[in-house]
Parts: sequence; structure tokens; C-alpha cells
Amino acid sequence: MPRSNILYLDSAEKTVELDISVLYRDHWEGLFKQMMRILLDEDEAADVVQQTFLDLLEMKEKISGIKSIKSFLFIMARNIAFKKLRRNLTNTTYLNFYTGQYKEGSPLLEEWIMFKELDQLIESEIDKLPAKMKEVFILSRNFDMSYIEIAQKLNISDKTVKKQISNAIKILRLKVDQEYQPLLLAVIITDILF
Amino acid sequence: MSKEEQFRKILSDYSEGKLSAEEVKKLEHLILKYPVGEPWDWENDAHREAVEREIRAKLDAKWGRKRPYKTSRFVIAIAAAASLACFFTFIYLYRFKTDAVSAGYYEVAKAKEYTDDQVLLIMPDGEQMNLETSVYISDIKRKIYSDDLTSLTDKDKITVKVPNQKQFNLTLDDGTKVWLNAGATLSFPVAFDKQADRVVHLDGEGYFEVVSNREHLFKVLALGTEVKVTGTKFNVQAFEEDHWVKTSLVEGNVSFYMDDKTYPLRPGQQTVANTDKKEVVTQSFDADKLLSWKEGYFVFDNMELFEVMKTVSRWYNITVVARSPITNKKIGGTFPNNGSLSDLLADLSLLSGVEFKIEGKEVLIIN
Repeated sequence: MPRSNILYLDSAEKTVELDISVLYRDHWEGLFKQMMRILLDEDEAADVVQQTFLDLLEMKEKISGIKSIKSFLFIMARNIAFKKLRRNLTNTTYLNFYTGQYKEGSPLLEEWIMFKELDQLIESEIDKLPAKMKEVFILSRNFDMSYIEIAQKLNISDKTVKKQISNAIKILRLKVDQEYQPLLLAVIITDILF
Repeated sequence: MSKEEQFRKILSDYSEGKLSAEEVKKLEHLILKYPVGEPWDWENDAHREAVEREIRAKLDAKWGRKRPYKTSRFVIAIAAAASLACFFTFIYLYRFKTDAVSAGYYEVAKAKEYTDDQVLLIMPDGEQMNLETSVYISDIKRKIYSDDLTSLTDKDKITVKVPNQKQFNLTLDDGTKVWLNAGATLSFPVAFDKQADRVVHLDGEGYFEVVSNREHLFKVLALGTEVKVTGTKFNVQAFEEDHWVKTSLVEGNVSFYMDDKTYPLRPGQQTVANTDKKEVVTQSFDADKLLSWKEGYFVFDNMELFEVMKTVSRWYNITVVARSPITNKKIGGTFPNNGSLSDLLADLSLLSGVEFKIEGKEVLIIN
């Protein structure tokens, strides 16, 4: 395997240099096995691993803020795998096959239903928020805008934005707490909001 | 709606982009949390190696080429553009070889210079005779003896040539069965050497059911490559004009060799070797589709017209030419191969939207 180095900045902005073939050697197998569990097909999983390292090579000088190169690789592979999965699922045969792989009463569906219910509850509660707070909150949640972007758009200070959002979360949490068990909520609400 | 139907709906919405970004995130998170597959592991080391080789094949090429360029992005962009241009030129030349039949036409596929409409048996001394479409080696031997060619030794090579629109079924000296597709040529000894490997030479497409014999491996040599087997069922397509050999394993074990490198195959896998560029790719295949030729069908599964015409050219032994680059629209379908060329072309025309014109042994594609 030819040597090709990858440079990246870790979370402390320290430059780390790694040999890409070493990265490949250490991680291809783990990635492949994980992708097999999602895609169930060796060729597809192999494609994903291959594409992950090809992509890594393309972006080798542009990546920074990486806490763990292993999770970074996994996220890249995962994104490629989901793209494949989406394409595969447009085929009815594959869709039926994949659906059938999840057994009746699979926890996936249970959690999904809970998520949808909670989502509706949150939607209805967001609707009841004070107008300005609602606007700020929706920009953050639905449009993925940063505090600074929202501040500029609404011509308010970013401190106000931060305050509004944190208040909104407090209100929502309180409302939702009345309906759901707090422990469960803590997990789900962070999942949705962040 | 049952839970299963509900879940199918979610997955189908997901595939069609009907879920919100938030829902996509949640669903993917759940798929990762509850993956559909059990923890997964290799069958054995050979399995692991075969997959790893497959993954690395493309990476090696890319990494090897990229490394020397340590220059500005701009130069890289130009180089990338240039290599793309080279690539397309290559594809263009590869697809439409320059020796156009008539001015302004490019050859898509070329007929073989072969006019016999019966299976031909060629003796080492050049003597030729016609054969039925299915024979045992003993029949051939009987023919040899009755024709007083007793000077032949066991090691002498006999060659069988299959004409267009015919298939040929042959049982060799060791009991191995061979099906040869239209246009194929197979050479083999009158009798296999009892002390050495069993060796045959193939050009074209053949399906083999090899009688197991661990002491005397069975070898198919094709365009400088080699398929080595003990006992097994596999298909080999060796097309000299296209510079590739495709070896597909249905049952058992085979190893594919090119340039001193070994590529072991597992059932359901095939190697595609480019004998020009010396590249080998391993992939999976659908045995029913691949072997449909034995059952008398062409199965085109999402193939470009260009590839389809290669197959049609081989079967009907026709030359296919086009005036301009032909459509890259992919077509599919199953067609009986005992029909007439004009019927098949009429169907292909409906599917692809191009027109065909038959002129003797030549088919023109009119976009």
C-alpha cells in the first residue's frame, strides 16, 4: 500500500499527522463489520469502506476539531451507508426485505412512535410560546441557525438569543415533564434539541 | 395498519426524502442503535482476505497516483481535468474503435471471421470436421479413428469452434462437462495426462462442471489468465476483443490467476480481469442471470445498450456500428435467443429509443 499522510487538527487545535495506510490498516475491518450490520451485504459494505477512505483522502487537509479519528471515520462511513440504504429502499423488494428483518415489536418502532408523540407534543407547546421566543426557537431548531446568525437576522444581541432559547427549553421541559417520565425525557429532548 | 406496515411506510418515506431532517436524524440514530444485522464475523481468514483485497484494489490505485502531486490546488484541478479528458477519450476510443467499417461509423462490436454454421472440430494437423451440438470425447475419438488419424497421441490438442446462434455441450476425457456459448473456442488434449494437471484453453464463454480430482487440478487458460479448480461449477467469459476475462463461481472453489497474483473466489463471486490494464475486480453476481444463455435466453439487467450490443454481436456474429456515440440509457429484459435478429432488434429499439438497420452481417445504430 502506498504511503499517504493525512493531517488534521485535534480538538485542542494541535496538528496530528497520520499515515493514511496505517489508519486504513487499523480501521477497515471494524468499519466493515459495522457496515455489515446496517447493509447486510458484503459488496455494499466493502464499497462504503472504500469510499470512506477515498473521501478521507480528498479532505485530508481540511479537517479539524477531531476528537477521535475513529469516530470521525465511523461517521463518514455511516453517512455513505445511509445514502446507499436510502437508495436501496426505493426498491420495493429491498424495502420488504429490510422491513422483514426487523421482527414484530422491534424496539426501533416503539421508540419511533414515542418520538413522534413527543414531537407532536413539543410542536404544540412551541406554538404556545411567547411570539419572540417562538421565533428565536424555531430559527434555531428548524433552520439550524447559530445564535449569532439569529441575532443578526432579528437585530437583537446574541445574549438575548441565548437567553430566549434557554428559557424556551425550560418551558418546554416543564410542559413535557407533566406528560412523560422525566428520565426518558432527558434523553429524548437532548436528542431533538441538540 | 400493522406495525410492520407502519415501519415499511417510515422506511419508504425515508428513501423518498419525505421525512424531515429531524426525523431522518432520529431514524438513522435508531437504525444504528438497533442494527438490522446481528454482530457479524468472517467465515474464515480467506474470506477476510478476499474482502480486504477487494476494498484495497481501488484504494491502491488512487493513493499510488495521488502521492507525487504536492502542488497547488489549481494545478491539481488542471491535472484532474486532463485526466478526466484522457479517461473519456479512452472510453470513447475503447468503445468505438477507430477502424470504422464505413466512413463516419464506429465499430461497437465486431463479428468474428467465421462463416461455418456448424460446430467445427479442428485436429492438430489442421484437419476439420463438423460435430453435432452435443458430444462425448469418445465420439470425437471414434471420429478420429474412423478417419484414420491414428497417428494422434493423447497429448495432441483438438479445438472446437462454436458458430453463431449455436451452443455446444461437450464431455471431456475425465467426465468434466463443458457448455460452450456461440462464438467460443475450446482447445483440449485428446486425453488428459495422468501425471499432470488437466489443462484447457478457452476463448469466448463457457460453463464448466468439473469432475473433482484433487491430485490433478483442472485449469482453464484464457488470454494469459488462469482459473485453477479441483471440482466445481463455474462460468468463464474470455473476450479477446474486449480484453477481459470474467470468472464466476457457482459452486465449490476456484482461484483466478493473473500476473502471478491469486484471487480466490467464493460461490456467488466473480472476478473481472482487464487483461490490457492488468486490473482485477471481485464482485458478486446473479447465477440465474449469468447462466441464462445455457437455458436459451438473453437476460439484460440494467445494461447499457453498448454492452447489450456486444452480447447480441457475439450470438448472431454480427458487426455493430454507430455513427455517433450511442445512448448510455440502461435497458433490461429477458429475450429468447432462438428468435430472429430483426425481432430482437425491434424489441431493443422500443426499449432504448434508437433505431437499428440490418445490412447483411452489419447492424447500424441510428440514434
